[in-house]
Amino acid sequence: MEPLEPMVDKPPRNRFEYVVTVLIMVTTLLAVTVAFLQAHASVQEDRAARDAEVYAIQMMAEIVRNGYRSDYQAGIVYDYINLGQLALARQFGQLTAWQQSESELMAEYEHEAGRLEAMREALLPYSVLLSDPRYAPREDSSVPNLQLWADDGMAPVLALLAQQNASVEVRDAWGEKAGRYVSVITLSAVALFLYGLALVTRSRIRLVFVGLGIVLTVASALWALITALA
Amino acid sequence: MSENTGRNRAGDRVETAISVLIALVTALTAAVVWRASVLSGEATSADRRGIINTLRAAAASAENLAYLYQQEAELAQSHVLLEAQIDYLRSSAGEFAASESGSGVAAILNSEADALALVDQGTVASVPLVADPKYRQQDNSFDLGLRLQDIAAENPDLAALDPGNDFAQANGLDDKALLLALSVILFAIALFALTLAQITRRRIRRLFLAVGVFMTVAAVFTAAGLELFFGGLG
Repeated sequence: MEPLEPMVDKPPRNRFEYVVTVLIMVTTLLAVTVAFLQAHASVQEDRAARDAEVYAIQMMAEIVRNGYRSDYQAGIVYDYINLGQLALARQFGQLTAWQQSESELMAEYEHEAGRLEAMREALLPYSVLLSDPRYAPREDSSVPNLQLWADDGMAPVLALLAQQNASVEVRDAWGEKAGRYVSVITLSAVALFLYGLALVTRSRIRLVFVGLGIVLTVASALWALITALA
Repeated sequence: MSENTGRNRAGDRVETAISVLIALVTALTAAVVWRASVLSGEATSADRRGIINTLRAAAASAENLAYLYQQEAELAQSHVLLEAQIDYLRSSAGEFAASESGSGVAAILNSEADALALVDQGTVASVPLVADPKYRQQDNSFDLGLRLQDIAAENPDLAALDPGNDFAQANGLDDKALLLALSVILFAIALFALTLAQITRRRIRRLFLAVGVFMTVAAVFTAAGLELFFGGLG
């Protein structure tokens, strides 16, 4: 029976070198896989960061919109109250003129009060603060429900803020993951260095290098796995 | 002896071929990594463009809001107040005209109403929000939302800003870059197999060589397929 031919050459290609070469390739494969995972985590981090920026811009735009809208609505309410006060003042004048029997003056005051009242009433449908029953002043007050108005106006802003915060959390989580993968790749690089040292060393110390390299490779693989599953 | 020499020569040739294959796969891997890096850079640019367009759209919207609320809505409010006065004056004039001695007062009130109407027509009524009846709602108030849409449409460049398109493009480029990075793993497996083929002999060498060549072809087809699948991206 013919003896089996060895699969691996004798020196310089002995079994030790064969094993180290396989270890180098395994570690390289691991590093390439982790590099892909790192790239994936980095992309996810970028996307979440982008979302957070977009939400921040949209939030700013919503606040600006709220400002203009509130300014406009408040202006109408201010005019409405102001015209009401002026009409009331004219009615006092009318009453005084009536008491002093100044009929022409009384008619003039009455006319002015009526005109101011007509202007005031005309403003009613133009402000939700006056026309919307949720905000309109109650019978016992002349001031609209500004708190409810402000709360409703801020609701979309707060919703965007919540989305922005959520995106920031997602970004941080992926960022942390990407950072861990970089550490794993660094460990793999150290392991590869040790395998390289083992190949060029002839003394028994090369076994220590290989042993350390294996420990680092296994640690890298475990760390990568734990990070990927986290 | 000559048989051994022949075997050695054949082995050398295979070894050389494997070395060339390893070099080729390494070069291909570098090319794919370069391509993925370029795509990733383009994705970052598309992302930046999307953020800038989001800002531009927000700025344009703020400008439109300022114009609507600080110009047109203010003038529209003046129009409403003028209209209320005109109506009141005409109604009072009607009441005076009905009485015996009120025709003089009625004429005065009507002339004031006419003057106010002139002011109204000359200034306020030329504001689109007031002049165009489509902006009037059922309760006679103004449809500011519709007017805002029309103001935005007046500037087609800004109205056409769509950051979503930029973000979709960035996502596509990122996906393509990631999948190319995934194909690098196939190249690495091919390198692994080819390296094993380089250091082994006989049948096992052939097996590793076959696996290496197969993985190389698979990786090349994957990379080329990705380029075709994503078409115009990148």
